[in-house]
Amino acid sequence: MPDDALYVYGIVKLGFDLDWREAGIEGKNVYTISECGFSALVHDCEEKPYMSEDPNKIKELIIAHNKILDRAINHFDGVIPLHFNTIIKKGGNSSQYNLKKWLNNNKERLEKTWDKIKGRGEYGIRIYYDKEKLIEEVSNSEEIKDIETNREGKGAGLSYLLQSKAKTKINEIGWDKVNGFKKKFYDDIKKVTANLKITPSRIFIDEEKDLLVNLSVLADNQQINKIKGFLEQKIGNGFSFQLAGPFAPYSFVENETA
Amino acid sequence: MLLTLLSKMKQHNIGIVELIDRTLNKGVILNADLVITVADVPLLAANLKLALASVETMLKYGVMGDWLVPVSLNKEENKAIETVEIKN
Repeated sequence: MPDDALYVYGIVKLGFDLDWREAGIEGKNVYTISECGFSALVHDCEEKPYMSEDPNKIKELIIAHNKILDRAINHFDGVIPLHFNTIIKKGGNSSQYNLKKWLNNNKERLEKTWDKIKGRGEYGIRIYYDKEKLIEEVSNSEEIKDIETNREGKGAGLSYLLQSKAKTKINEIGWDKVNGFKKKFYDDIKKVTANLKITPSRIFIDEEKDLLVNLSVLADNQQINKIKGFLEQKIGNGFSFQLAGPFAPYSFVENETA
Repeated sequence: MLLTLLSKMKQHNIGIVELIDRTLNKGVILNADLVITVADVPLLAANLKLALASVETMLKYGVMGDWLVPVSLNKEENKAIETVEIKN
Protein backbone atom coordinates (compact mmCIF):
# COMPACT_ATOMS: atom_id res chain seq x y z
CA MET A 1 0.00 0.00 0.00
CA PRO A 2 1.54 3.36 -0.97
CA ASP A 3 2.26 6.00 1.65
CA ASP A 4 -0.27 8.49 0.34
CA ALA A 5 -1.55 9.74 3.68
CA LEU A 6 0.09 12.20 6.06
CA TYR A 7 0.73 11.77 9.76
CA VAL A 8 0.66 15.25 11.32
CA TYR A 9 2.58 15.91 14.56
CA GLY A 10 1.97 19.59 15.02
CA ILE A 11 1.99 23.05 13.49
CA VAL A 12 4.79 25.63 13.63
CA LYS A 13 5.05 29.15 12.31
CA LEU A 14 7.65 28.76 9.59
CA GLY A 15 6.02 29.61 6.31
CA PHE A 16 8.24 27.68 3.93
CA ASP A 17 8.85 24.01 3.24
CA LEU A 18 11.76 22.36 4.97
CA ASP A 19 13.20 18.89 4.70
CA TRP A 20 13.75 18.77 8.42
CA ARG A 21 15.36 15.31 8.37
CA GLU A 22 14.21 14.41 11.84
CA ALA A 23 13.29 10.77 12.41
CA GLY A 24 9.70 10.48 13.57
CA ILE A 25 7.48 7.51 14.34
CA GLU A 26 9.07 4.26 13.12
CA GLY A 27 12.04 6.30 11.84
CA LYS A 28 9.98 8.07 9.18
CA ASN A 29 11.45 11.24 7.71
CA VAL A 30 9.67 14.31 9.05
CA TYR A 31 9.29 17.34 6.81
CA THR A 32 7.03 20.35 6.58
CA ILE A 33 4.06 21.29 4.42
CA SER A 34 3.38 25.02 4.47
CA GLU A 35 0.47 27.33 3.78
CA CYS A 36 -0.40 30.85 4.90
CA GLY A 37 2.70 31.26 7.05
CA PHE A 38 2.19 28.03 8.98
CA SER A 39 3.91 24.69 8.49
CA ALA A 40 2.66 21.25 9.46
CA LEU A 41 5.26 18.71 10.64
CA VAL A 42 4.44 15.51 8.81
CA HIS A 43 5.63 12.15 7.59
CA ASP A 44 4.24 10.03 4.78
CA CYS A 45 2.20 7.05 5.95
CA GLU A 46 -0.50 4.60 5.06
CA GLU A 47 -4.17 5.40 5.55
CA LYS A 48 -4.41 3.60 8.85
CA PRO A 49 -3.72 4.58 12.44
CA TYR A 50 -0.72 3.39 14.38
CA MET A 51 -1.84 0.80 16.88
CA SER A 52 -0.53 -2.19 18.70
CA GLU A 53 -1.45 -4.49 21.53
CA ASP A 54 2.14 -4.46 22.71
CA PRO A 55 2.59 -1.81 25.45
CA ASN A 56 6.25 -1.40 24.52
CA LYS A 57 5.29 -0.58 20.96
CA ILE A 58 2.71 1.93 22.17
CA LYS A 59 5.32 3.49 24.40
CA GLU A 60 7.66 3.84 21.41
CA LEU A 61 4.94 5.52 19.34
CA ILE A 62 4.11 8.03 22.06
CA ILE A 63 7.75 8.85 22.76
CA ALA A 64 8.48 9.25 19.04
CA HIS A 65 5.49 11.56 18.59
CA ASN A 66 6.63 13.72 21.50
CA LYS A 67 10.27 13.71 20.47
CA ILE A 68 9.31 15.55 17.30
CA LEU A 69 7.26 18.06 19.27
CA ASP A 70 10.16 18.66 21.67
CA ARG A 71 12.55 19.22 18.78
CA ALA A 72 10.04 21.59 17.22
CA ILE A 73 9.82 23.66 20.40
CA ASN A 74 13.60 24.11 20.30
CA HIS A 75 13.87 24.73 16.56
CA PHE A 76 10.80 26.88 15.96
CA ASP A 77 10.25 28.46 19.39
CA GLY A 78 6.99 26.63 19.86
CA VAL A 79 4.62 24.06 18.42
CA ILE A 80 0.88 23.59 18.30
CA PRO A 81 0.54 19.88 19.11
CA LEU A 82 -2.01 17.79 17.29
CA HIS A 83 -3.81 14.88 18.85
CA PHE A 84 -1.81 11.67 18.67
CA ASN A 85 -2.52 9.65 15.49
CA THR A 86 -3.84 12.50 13.36
CA ILE A 87 -3.68 11.11 9.84
CA ILE A 88 -4.93 12.96 6.78
CA LYS A 89 -6.32 10.84 3.98
CA LYS A 90 -6.05 11.36 0.27
CA GLY A 91 -9.74 11.35 -0.59
CA GLY A 92 -10.55 12.77 -4.03
CA ASN A 93 -7.47 15.03 -4.03
CA SER A 94 -4.08 14.53 -2.39
CA SER A 95 -3.45 14.43 1.33
CA GLN A 96 -1.11 17.40 0.88
CA TYR A 97 -3.90 19.41 -0.75
CA ASN A 98 -6.26 18.52 2.10
CA LEU A 99 -3.75 19.57 4.73
CA LYS A 100 -3.03 22.89 3.01
CA LYS A 101 -6.74 23.53 2.75
CA TRP A 102 -7.13 22.93 6.49
CA LEU A 103 -4.21 25.26 7.30
CA ASN A 104 -5.75 27.92 5.08
CA ASN A 105 -9.21 27.55 6.61
CA ASN A 106 -7.83 27.76 10.15
CA LYS A 107 -5.25 30.52 9.69
CA GLU A 108 -6.84 33.01 12.09
CA ARG A 109 -7.27 30.51 14.87
CA LEU A 110 -3.74 29.21 14.36
CA GLU A 111 -2.41 32.79 14.65
CA LYS A 112 -4.29 33.29 17.89
CA THR A 113 -3.04 30.01 19.35
CA TRP A 114 0.52 30.65 18.21
CA ASP A 115 0.58 34.04 19.94
CA LYS A 116 -0.39 32.30 23.15
CA ILE A 117 2.03 29.36 23.07
CA LYS A 118 5.11 30.90 21.37
CA GLY A 119 8.18 30.62 23.60
CA ARG A 120 6.25 28.80 26.30
CA GLY A 121 6.05 25.22 27.53
CA GLU A 122 3.41 23.33 29.46
CA TYR A 123 4.19 22.12 32.98
CA GLY A 124 2.26 19.80 35.27
CA ILE A 125 2.25 20.86 38.91
CA ARG A 126 1.01 18.56 41.66
CA ILE A 127 0.67 20.20 45.06
CA TYR A 128 0.29 17.96 48.10
CA TYR A 129 -0.67 18.80 51.67
CA ASP A 130 -0.02 17.02 54.94
CA LYS A 131 -3.43 15.69 55.94
CA GLU A 132 -2.40 14.47 59.39
CA LYS A 133 -0.86 17.80 60.25
CA LEU A 134 -4.02 19.59 59.12
CA ILE A 135 -6.29 17.35 61.20
CA GLU A 136 -4.06 17.90 64.22
CA GLU A 137 -4.22 21.67 63.79
CA VAL A 138 -7.99 21.64 63.39
CA SER A 139 -8.41 19.32 66.38
CA ASN A 140 -6.51 21.84 68.51
CA SER A 141 -8.61 24.79 67.38
CA GLU A 142 -10.70 26.71 69.93
CA GLU A 143 -13.96 25.62 68.34
CA ILE A 144 -13.16 21.92 68.75
CA LYS A 145 -11.65 22.41 72.19
CA ASP A 146 -14.92 24.06 73.33
CA ILE A 147 -16.90 21.02 72.20
CA GLU A 148 -14.46 18.70 73.98
CA THR A 149 -14.69 20.79 77.15
CA ASN A 150 -18.48 20.56 77.02
CA ARG A 151 -18.22 16.78 76.92
CA GLU A 152 -16.59 16.66 80.33
CA GLY A 153 -18.93 15.45 83.04
CA LYS A 154 -21.72 14.67 80.59
CA GLY A 155 -23.55 11.36 80.48
CA ALA A 156 -22.57 8.68 77.98
CA GLY A 157 -25.32 9.51 75.48
CA LEU A 158 -24.69 13.24 75.38
CA SER A 159 -20.93 12.71 75.41
CA TYR A 160 -21.25 10.46 72.35
CA LEU A 161 -23.35 13.07 70.54
CA LEU A 162 -20.80 15.79 71.29
CA GLN A 163 -17.97 13.54 70.13
CA SER A 164 -19.79 13.00 66.83
CA LYS A 165 -20.36 16.73 66.58
CA ALA A 166 -16.62 17.35 67.08
CA LYS A 167 -15.74 14.84 64.36
CA THR A 168 -18.19 16.40 61.92
CA LYS A 169 -16.85 19.86 62.73
CA ILE A 170 -13.23 18.73 62.25
CA ASN A 171 -14.23 17.40 58.85
CA GLU A 172 -16.04 20.60 57.89
CA ILE A 173 -13.26 22.91 59.03
CA GLY A 174 -10.68 20.63 57.38
CA TRP A 175 -12.42 20.73 54.00
CA ASP A 176 -12.88 24.49 54.24
CA LYS A 177 -9.17 24.86 54.87
CA VAL A 178 -8.28 22.51 51.98
CA ASN A 179 -10.52 24.48 49.61
CA GLY A 180 -8.98 27.70 50.91
CA PHE A 181 -5.45 26.39 50.29
CA LYS A 182 -6.44 25.25 46.82
CA LYS A 183 -7.90 28.64 45.93
CA LYS A 184 -4.89 30.49 47.34
CA PHE A 185 -2.39 28.39 45.34
CA TYR A 186 -4.49 28.83 42.20
CA ASP A 187 -4.79 32.60 42.67
CA ASP A 188 -1.09 33.06 43.50
CA ILE A 189 0.10 31.05 40.49
CA LYS A 190 -2.40 32.85 38.28
CA LYS A 191 -0.66 36.10 39.17
CA VAL A 192 2.43 34.72 37.38
CA THR A 193 0.66 33.24 34.35
CA ALA A 194 -2.95 33.59 33.30
CA ASN A 195 -2.65 30.34 31.36
CA LEU A 196 -3.53 27.95 34.14
CA LYS A 197 -5.92 25.02 34.34
CA ILE A 198 -6.98 22.65 37.08
CA THR A 199 -6.49 19.16 35.67
CA PRO A 200 -8.53 16.26 37.01
CA SER A 201 -5.99 13.84 38.41
CA ARG A 202 -6.34 10.21 37.44
CA ILE A 203 -2.94 9.25 38.73
CA PHE A 204 -1.90 8.92 42.36
CA ILE A 205 1.70 8.01 42.80
CA ASP A 206 2.77 9.08 46.26
CA GLU A 207 0.07 7.52 48.34
CA GLU A 208 1.52 8.80 51.58
CA LYS A 209 0.68 12.31 50.49
CA ASP A 210 -2.67 13.90 49.76
CA LEU A 211 -3.10 15.72 46.51
CA LEU A 212 -4.37 19.25 47.03
CA VAL A 213 -4.53 20.26 43.39
CA ASN A 214 -3.18 19.16 40.01
CA LEU A 215 -2.49 22.07 37.68
CA SER A 216 -1.35 22.55 34.11
CA VAL A 217 0.37 25.84 33.41
CA LEU A 218 1.70 27.43 30.25
CA ALA A 219 4.83 29.38 31.10
CA ASP A 220 8.07 30.73 29.70
CA ASN A 221 11.38 30.14 31.52
CA GLN A 222 11.09 33.25 33.63
CA GLN A 223 7.53 32.47 34.68
CA ILE A 224 8.23 28.85 35.61
CA ASN A 225 11.23 29.88 37.69
CA LYS A 226 9.03 32.35 39.50
CA ILE A 227 6.40 29.67 40.13
CA LYS A 228 9.09 27.27 41.39
CA GLY A 229 10.40 29.95 43.72
CA PHE A 230 6.93 30.58 45.04
CA LEU A 231 6.27 26.87 45.63
CA GLU A 232 9.63 26.36 47.32
CA GLN A 233 8.64 28.96 49.88
CA LYS A 234 5.67 26.80 50.83
CA ILE A 235 7.76 23.72 51.46
CA GLY A 236 8.01 22.88 55.15
CA ASN A 237 4.64 24.42 55.95
CA GLY A 238 2.77 21.19 55.36
CA PHE A 239 3.02 21.34 51.57
CA SER A 240 5.16 19.67 48.95
CA PHE A 241 4.97 19.67 45.16
CA GLN A 242 6.14 17.96 42.02
CA LEU A 243 6.70 19.73 38.76
CA ALA A 244 6.94 17.91 35.41
CA GLY A 245 7.78 19.35 32.03
CA PRO A 246 8.19 21.18 29.79
CA PHE A 247 5.75 19.44 27.49
CA ALA A 248 4.23 20.61 24.21
CA PRO A 249 1.27 22.84 25.17
CA TYR A 250 -1.37 20.11 24.85
CA SER A 251 -3.73 21.54 27.44
CA PHE A 252 -3.80 25.01 25.93
CA VAL A 253 -4.73 24.34 22.32
CA GLU A 254 -7.83 22.21 22.56
CA ASN A 255 -10.99 23.36 20.85
CA GLU A 256 -9.33 26.50 19.65
CA THR A 257 -7.82 25.57 16.33
CA ALA A 258 -10.02 22.63 15.43
CA MET B 1 20.75 4.50 48.15
CA LEU B 2 17.77 2.34 47.23
CA LEU B 3 15.38 5.01 48.46
CA THR B 4 17.14 7.62 46.34
CA LEU B 5 16.91 5.38 43.30
CA LEU B 6 13.22 4.69 43.91
CA SER B 7 12.59 8.38 44.41
CA LYS B 8 14.31 9.15 41.11
CA MET B 9 12.29 6.45 39.35
CA LYS B 10 9.09 7.88 40.80
CA GLN B 11 9.99 11.36 39.57
CA HIS B 12 10.69 9.93 36.15
CA ASN B 13 7.45 7.96 36.13
CA ILE B 14 5.40 11.01 37.01
CA GLY B 15 6.91 12.71 33.95
CA ILE B 16 6.10 9.67 31.79
CA VAL B 17 2.55 9.32 32.99
CA GLU B 18 1.87 13.05 32.68
CA LEU B 19 3.24 12.90 29.14
CA ILE B 20 1.13 9.88 28.15
CA ASP B 21 -1.97 11.44 29.67
CA ARG B 22 -1.51 14.59 27.61
CA THR B 23 -0.57 12.76 24.41
CA LEU B 24 -3.63 10.52 24.45
CA ASN B 25 -6.20 12.94 25.76
CA LYS B 26 -5.24 16.38 24.53
CA GLY B 27 -4.00 18.31 21.52
CA VAL B 28 -5.70 19.85 18.52
CA ILE B 29 -8.26 17.62 16.87
CA LEU B 30 -8.82 18.21 13.17
CA ASN B 31 -12.51 18.17 12.46
CA ALA B 32 -12.16 17.37 8.78
CA ASP B 33 -13.78 14.67 6.70
CA LEU B 34 -10.47 13.46 5.42
CA VAL B 35 -8.90 12.71 8.78
CA ILE B 36 -8.83 9.16 10.08
CA THR B 37 -10.84 9.46 13.27
CA VAL B 38 -14.39 8.25 13.06
CA ALA B 39 -14.12 4.51 12.95
CA ASP B 40 -10.60 3.77 14.07
CA VAL B 41 -9.60 6.12 16.83
CA PRO B 42 -12.07 5.09 19.54
CA LEU B 43 -10.70 1.56 19.25
CA LEU B 44 -7.16 2.85 19.33
CA ALA B 45 -7.86 5.12 22.27
CA ALA B 46 -9.40 2.25 24.20
CA ASN B 47 -6.36 0.13 23.47
CA LEU B 48 -3.90 2.81 24.53
CA LYS B 49 -5.86 3.77 27.62
CA LEU B 50 -5.85 0.15 28.68
CA ALA B 51 -2.07 0.27 28.51
CA LEU B 52 -2.09 3.50 30.46
CA ALA B 53 -4.32 1.98 33.12
CA SER B 54 -1.88 -0.86 33.55
CA VAL B 55 0.93 1.64 34.06
CA GLU B 56 -1.08 3.41 36.75
CA THR B 57 -1.69 0.10 38.47
CA MET B 58 2.00 -0.75 38.35
CA LEU B 59 2.89 2.61 39.81
CA LYS B 60 0.22 2.31 42.48
CA TYR B 61 1.70 -0.93 43.73
CA GLY B 62 5.27 0.21 43.24
CA VAL B 63 5.96 -2.28 40.49
CA MET B 64 8.39 -1.00 37.91
CA GLY B 65 7.54 -3.36 35.10
CA ASP B 66 9.04 -3.82 31.66
CA TRP B 67 6.78 -1.11 30.36
CA LEU B 68 8.82 1.59 32.04
CA VAL B 69 12.31 0.26 32.53
CA PRO B 70 13.44 0.62 28.90
CA VAL B 71 12.36 4.26 28.97
CA SER B 72 14.57 5.04 31.92
CA LEU B 73 17.55 3.64 30.05
CA ASN B 74 17.28 5.96 27.10
CA LYS B 75 19.06 9.29 27.62
CA GLU B 76 17.37 10.95 24.69
CA GLU B 77 13.94 10.08 25.99
CA ASN B 78 14.89 11.07 29.53
CA LYS B 79 15.80 14.49 28.28
CA ALA B 80 12.47 14.84 26.55
CA ILE B 81 10.55 14.25 29.73
CA GLU B 82 12.77 15.86 32.28
CA THR B 83 11.05 16.00 35.61
CA VAL B 84 11.93 18.15 38.56
CA GLU B 85 10.95 17.37 42.12
CA ILE B 86 11.46 19.65 45.06
CA LYS B 87 10.41 18.49 48.50
CA ASN B 88 11.12 19.03 52.16
